This record gives sequence, C-alpha cells and structure tokens, in this order.
Amino acid sequence: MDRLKIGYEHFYKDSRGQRRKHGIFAPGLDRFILIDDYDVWSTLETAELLSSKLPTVAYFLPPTNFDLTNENCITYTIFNKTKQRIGPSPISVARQNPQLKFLFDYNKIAFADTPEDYRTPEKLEMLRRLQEYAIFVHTVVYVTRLTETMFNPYNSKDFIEKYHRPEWINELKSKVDRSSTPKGVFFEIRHALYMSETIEEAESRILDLWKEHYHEQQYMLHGFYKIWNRPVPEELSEVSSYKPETVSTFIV
Amino acid sequence: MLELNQPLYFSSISFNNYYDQFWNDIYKESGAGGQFYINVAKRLNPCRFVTRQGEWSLPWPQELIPGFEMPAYDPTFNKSFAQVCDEKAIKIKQQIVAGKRFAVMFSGGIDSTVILVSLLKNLSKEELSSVVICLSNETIIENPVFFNKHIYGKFKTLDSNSNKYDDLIEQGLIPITADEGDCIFGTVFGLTLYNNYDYYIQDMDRNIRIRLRGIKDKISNPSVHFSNFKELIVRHLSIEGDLKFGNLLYEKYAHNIKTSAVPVHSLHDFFWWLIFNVKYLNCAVRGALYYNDRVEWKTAIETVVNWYSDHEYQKWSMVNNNNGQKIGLTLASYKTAAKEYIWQFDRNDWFKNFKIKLESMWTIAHQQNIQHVAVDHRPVARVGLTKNYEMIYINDPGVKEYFTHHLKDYQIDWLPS
Repeated sequence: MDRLKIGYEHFYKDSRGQRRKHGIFAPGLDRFILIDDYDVWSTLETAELLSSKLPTVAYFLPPTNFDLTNENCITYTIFNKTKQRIGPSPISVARQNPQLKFLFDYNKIAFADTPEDYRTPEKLEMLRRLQEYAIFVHTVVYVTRLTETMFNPYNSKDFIEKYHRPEWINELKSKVDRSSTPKGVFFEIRHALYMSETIEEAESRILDLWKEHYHEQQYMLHGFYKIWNRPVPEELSEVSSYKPETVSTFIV
Repeated sequence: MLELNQPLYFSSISFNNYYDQFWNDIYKESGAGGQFYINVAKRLNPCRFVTRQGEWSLPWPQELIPGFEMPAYDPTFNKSFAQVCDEKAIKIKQQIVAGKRFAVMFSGGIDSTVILVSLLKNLSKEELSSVVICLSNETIIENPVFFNKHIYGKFKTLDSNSNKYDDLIEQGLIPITADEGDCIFGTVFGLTLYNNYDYYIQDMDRNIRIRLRGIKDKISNPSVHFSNFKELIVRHLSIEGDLKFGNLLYEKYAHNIKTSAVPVHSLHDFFWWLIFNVKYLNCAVRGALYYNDRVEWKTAIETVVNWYSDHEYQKWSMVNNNNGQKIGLTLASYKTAAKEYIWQFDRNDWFKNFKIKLESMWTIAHQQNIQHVAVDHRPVARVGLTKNYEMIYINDPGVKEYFTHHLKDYQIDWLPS
C-alpha cells in the first residue's frame, strides 16, 4: 500500500492537521484580497477571472494565530517575499494569468495595514470596489461550477477534449450544453464576470444571457439560482414555463 | 578568432542552464575582482552592464554602441509625459506619410499600451493602417479590455511567437519596441527591495532598524539621500546574505553615481540610475541581439525603434524624479505618469489603479521558434558583440580564453580610500 500513500496532504492540511485556508494575493497591493477555505480550485478560477482587472497569485496559506478573513486580509501581507520554496518573489512570478503557489508553515503572514499607495479616499474606494467585486465573482464561480456539474448532463465536449484523442473526434460534433452559444452558457457567464466593469454590469449580462438562452435548459437556469440561494429574477420567471419542483434533479 | 585585446560593443555573463559550466570554469580561474564580476550575474542575471555616464570599470575593453549616448541633463526641460508621448507619435506619423510601415511589439503591459494610445490619439485611421500589431495570446491575457476595445477587428495583427524582428524587417515592417520603458521609470529590482523592506531590517542592529523604519515612507523623497538606506541596499544586493559582496556592488554603483553629472538623490533615484545608465544598453539592444537570427546585427540595432530611447523621454526622465510621476511608495504606483496617460484615453479605472509592471520579455523569449537555428548559435549561446558588429558565440575559438584572461586580472578599483 506504500505506493498509494498520499504525498500531497500537506497542501491541504497544516502541521497541526488543520485544513489550510487559501487566498488571493495581489503583488501590486502587496496584500491579500480574498480568503477562502472551501475549494482552492474555485479560488484559482476567481483569480483568473479577476485577471482582467489585476494580476494576482493564489496561495495555499500557512497557519496563523489569528483569524485571517475577507474583512481583514487587505491589511495582511507575506512577510518574506525575497524567495519562496516554490518559485521566487511574488513580483517576479506574478503574471496576469495567475498561478497557484504554496506557503509553508514557517512563512509568516504579517500585519501591514492598508496598502501604502491606497490611503486617499479615492484609492480606498477603489480597494472597496475591488474586494466587493472579487467576492461577487467568487460566489458566482462556486454557483457556476456546482451548477454545471450538477445540472448539465449534456457536456460531452469538455469530457471528450480532456480524455479522447483528437483523431477519434475529428469528424464528430459535440456540445457543451443545449444552448445555441458556441461555447455554452457557463462560458458566457464566466466571460461576463471577466469583462464586466462592475457587479451591476455582470449581473445584467448574466440576466440577458439567461433571457436569450433559457430554451431547452431551464433546469440549469433554475439550478443556477437555487444554488446561488437567490430567487429566479422576475424577468426570467416570465419566460420560464418549467416547474422545477416536479423534477427530481432539483431536490438538492 | 576573438583576440585578447579586441574591444567589444556588448557583453553578457549569463547563467542560463546551458552554459553555466562555461562561467563556473572561468570563475575558478578568476581573481577576486573577476569572481565578484561573475557573481554580479548571479545576483542580477544577466550581467550586461556598460556605463553611459560616470566611471564603471569593466574587466575587458568595451565601448558604448554609437547612438545610445545619454543626452545632456537639462534641468529646464518642462514637457509633460503626455506631450512627449504625443510628439513621439507625430514623428512616427511623419515617417508613415513618407511611406514607412511599422509593427508595434505589444505585450499588453503599461509601456507598450502607452505606445498604442499615443498612435491612436495622433494618427488618422488611414495612417493607422500602416501599423501592424505584433502580439501573442499572453498579450490578450495581460490586457483583454484594451484588446477588445481598441485592437480586435481594427488592426492587422501578427503572432509575436512566430514573427521575430528578422521576420518583421523582411516583411518591410519596422519594429517598434517598448523595451526601454523601465529605463525611464526605474527598475523592478528596486521594487523588490521596497517590497521586502520590513523583512530585510528585522535582524539589523536596533539603532539601524529604528532609523530605517523611520524613513520607510521616504523612498522617493529627495531630501533623504540614498546613502541613508545603505545597510538596506547592501542587504538587497547580497547573495545568500554575503554582505561583503553586497557592499562591493553598492560601492561600485555609488562610485558611478558620484562620478556622473546627473542628480541622483533618493532611494528610487538610485535604482532608476542603474537601469537608466549602466543597464540601459542591454535594454536597448537585447531585442535586436536575442530576438533576431537573420538580419545583420548592426542593421537590426539601427532599424528597431526603441520608443523610449527618444531623447525627449530621457530628458523627461532626468527631471521627473521624486515628484510622483515615476512612483509613489510601492509597485502599485510605479509608472504613474504612463498609467495616467492611458487612463486619459480609455478611462479604465481598474487598469489605472491596479495594473502593475509584469516581466513580459521571458514569455517572448521562451516561445520564439528557434528550432532551425544551430544550438551553438541560439540566443543562449550569444555572449558578446565586437566593435565590428560580429556576434561572439560561447563556443567560438578564443572566447573562453578572452573572458578567462580579462576576469583573471580584473581589479576592484572603486572602493573609497
């Protein structure tokens, strides 16, 4: 059984056996902008979607003797940024396309107050806008990932592209979902998050998207809002004739 | 055959995995001065320094390539960054009217976005049709909003991964590069110090620590001379905590500054001066020498338009230290004047407030197609350029002997008496 021994546990649990938090670090601010402890891959995806706004690095975090949260992370930094066990300093490794990095238990997360170049009212407002947008995106990422795996049984395309040889599928058509969009509605939702300037714009684009692509996939629409824990918007209720309560897949 | 007394126009000590053994062998043969100079490459890889102002001794005879001299310091220069950008665009416009065609190397970063904004502001639609944008997928990742609004469907684009300078020149296009943007604003090497300020000082003597903590917010304040940060700079320049090496390098830079005729006051000035002076030539010619395989080196160097080499930019850079145009306190405000210029054009708050300088050179370097180039002539094998503009490759006859000879005798000649 030795060959089945887990070699990656330390990525997820610290030396005390506690589940690690993970976070998004902005090298430009030299602070964390988002903290999470559910799913690191969703955190990485959030960082990717925020990359149209700023470059970031996602990190598995070391344990701290205080509660690092979304409320206080904007005042905390990585103390030693000269080099890290996996890669050099955040400034050197930062790309617009974020990577996932690991901080060991001895790496210190230190209080550094509000970022030095963001202490005017105008700059503080931009920080607030950034964190608000980041948390919004992170929420929709979870909702999207859960919806697309729980409520979309038609996604053969992603599966095929991951596991099938290109020559097997040259002549065969495949789709991501039943919508008429080339890359599926979840791609469009992500693109809306990626390109929108504000939360209002992103919400509006998502709403418009569902309005246009509700045919044949109202189960996904309902699933999306159910997982988001929001009522289906009124505008969409009007186009929907589906009765999700009658379908077993909606009992979540 | 490289002769021992042959003067160079360019030299490069580089640890790049391919030829580490070459430099490690020479290191063993070198005296203290030579070992110091090879170690410079270990700290600031690659080591390709040559001075434009002040004293900076080199182990071998080397001169500045003509055309890259520093313009005279002019304290009365009062054009704004925006004026300089607009005037540069007008110069390109005049060449387009005269029949020239250009390819802008667009990484999506701050410096190359300034170039595009300048052209979009000052050229007509017809004139812009003589401009091709050379970009990659990484470009779109770095700046998707700008790409979507201003480039997609509006310009002819070429893939920078398959169109190096030689390809572009052979297509009748003149490459425009932003490669010297950092020279105008200061170096990332300084930013990594500001970023680790508290970490560096934690183990220092209490009095030094208190003093340095007290001036932490004065990195770009001309009333606090860079020498007040000496312990911090030495720590930053050191390799694995070897403060002796860090001190030698600090003194070499300080000697260069002392013997120059341009004001260098603050900590940020100190790091700006490194890249504006001794590292300048590397930034100016590395594209022509490492992103080109076929066009003659002299032709490539003289053809490529280094946007920020324009003397007006350089003069602007010399009189705009410590006024918030180059940096506030951290990486976040680095290149403020450039981000402001872009914002005036596209009003993108996110870019203005959160875009930071990213290293884009290495993505280009790693993706260029060089399979057709013999291994010992690939960019990693290029170690210098003679005064006759002949490339020196690491395996050429006489090359190892040349560097061994000069590094053996190189003296540490800059320490204050």
